[in-house]
Amino acid sequence: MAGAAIALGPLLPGALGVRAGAINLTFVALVLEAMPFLLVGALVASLLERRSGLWLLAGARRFPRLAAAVSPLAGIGLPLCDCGLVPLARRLERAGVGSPVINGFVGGAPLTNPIVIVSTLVAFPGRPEMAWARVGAGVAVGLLAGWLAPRPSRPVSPGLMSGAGDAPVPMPIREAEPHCCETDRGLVPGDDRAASEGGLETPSVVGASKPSSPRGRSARLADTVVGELIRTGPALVLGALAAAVLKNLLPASMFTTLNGQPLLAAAVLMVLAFVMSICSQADAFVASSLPVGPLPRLGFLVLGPVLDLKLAVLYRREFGGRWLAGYAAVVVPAVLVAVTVAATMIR
Amino acid sequence: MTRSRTLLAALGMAVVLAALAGRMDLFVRPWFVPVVVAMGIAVVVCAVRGTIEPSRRTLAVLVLPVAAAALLTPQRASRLTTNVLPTAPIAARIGDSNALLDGDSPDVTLLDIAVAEQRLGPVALAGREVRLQAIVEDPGTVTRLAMVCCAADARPIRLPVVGSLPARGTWVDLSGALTAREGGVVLLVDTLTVIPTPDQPFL
Repeated sequence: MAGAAIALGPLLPGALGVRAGAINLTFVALVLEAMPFLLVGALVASLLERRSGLWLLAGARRFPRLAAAVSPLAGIGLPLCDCGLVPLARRLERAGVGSPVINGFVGGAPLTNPIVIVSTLVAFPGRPEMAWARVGAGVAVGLLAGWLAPRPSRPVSPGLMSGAGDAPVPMPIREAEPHCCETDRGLVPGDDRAASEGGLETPSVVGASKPSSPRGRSARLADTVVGELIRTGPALVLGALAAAVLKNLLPASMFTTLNGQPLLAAAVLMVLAFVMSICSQADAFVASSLPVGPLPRLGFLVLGPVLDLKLAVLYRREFGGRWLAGYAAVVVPAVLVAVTVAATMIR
Repeated sequence: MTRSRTLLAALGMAVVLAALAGRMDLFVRPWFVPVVVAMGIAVVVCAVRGTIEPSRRTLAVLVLPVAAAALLTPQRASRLTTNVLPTAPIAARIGDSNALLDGDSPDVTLLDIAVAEQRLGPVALAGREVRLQAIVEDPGTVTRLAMVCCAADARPIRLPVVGSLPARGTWVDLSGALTAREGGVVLLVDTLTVIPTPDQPFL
């Protein structure tokens, strides 16, 4: 029903059809842009189950303060967009890494990504200070999020937005190593078992091969991708749809008459960044075309990768509404303060 | 293979086929199309090789973007071009060459002109003969949407023109000379041909 309404909307005559077409276009584009990164993020997260990944996770648990301090900088080694970091954040949470590390990672890593830095440098030719101000503000926001945001946890009550299946099937926990990592106390359940515990999509496993065989390894890799698709895919789709609807219904003119009030303009552009949900690797080009000063631009550039509508749906699905509210209560004012300081310094 | 995994594989295949048919250009920049194709192939392979069964509810949500994309033709998408609110033009795009800055070819895009104007100023472009395709926005302006990364961030690039234009929403092929007027670049139209909607209405 909803699918028919979405698909047939652009066929409507007049302005209604144009508006529906704009929503469709934005919706599909957001999904196409984010989904590959989400799946790549899942693959990268699965690498954390290899020896070096386990070593990193063990290090993060053993030296929590140091890990929390450097977690916002983790983006340097992860050229993924903000959506691609979600599976990694979940993997950290499942591995029992401390909340300051996870929150610092979620709040800072999207802005220390090398692609984000390069795209910002290119989007603001002759003004490299915009890129450095963005990174600096991002690291500050990540540290504050790590310090102040609540501990992520799995949501208690699943719903459609959490990707719940309509006909849960008991899932046999696979033997041996899959999706587990060693902790000081033994094994921590990985993604699959976590899913069944939380009442989320409970995939059934049919004809699973032994993980140690080549066939088993490829099946496990395939399950990593499909598991991410069915776990986070629906939330991404619905988040993108919500962003597309809001973006095309809010009057853009409200964002263009605020040049004389930088702080208010920054707040409004942060709302715009939240609603537009643009990929963090492209938002610098949009920001550079907005007719506002450095402070509002930085507000747009720093908040978007850290918290937008699409991410909010994903985060709520992964860590629950309570964590999302606490996280937002920290990062929104933190971004406003950080970009104000950064904009003052680059002036 | 079970029915649910077959349906998931079909979704992945639909993405691949849509990309091969050129439909992805409507939603993402050309450089990103191979990434989308790779994703579609990965979904097909993983649905075949994997063991996880997606529920019907999950599949119903995942099919939404495919359904939304199915009926969005270039003609329907092009109707959006003249219905977006005015904003400032794009300053730059990674990996773009610029026919105006890089050579003497008259075939340019509105984005080439906008970027060259920002770099060199309107006076430096005066006298350049150009040919471009755009949509008529009003009696004195042509426009075209340009994506930065995908259609979600598409922004209108506008160019004032001097010459007789057909009705709003008509696609035209224009030739003429650029000139500097009132602090900006203007196109003095020599020849104008009405054309059908291009397969890729966006830049």
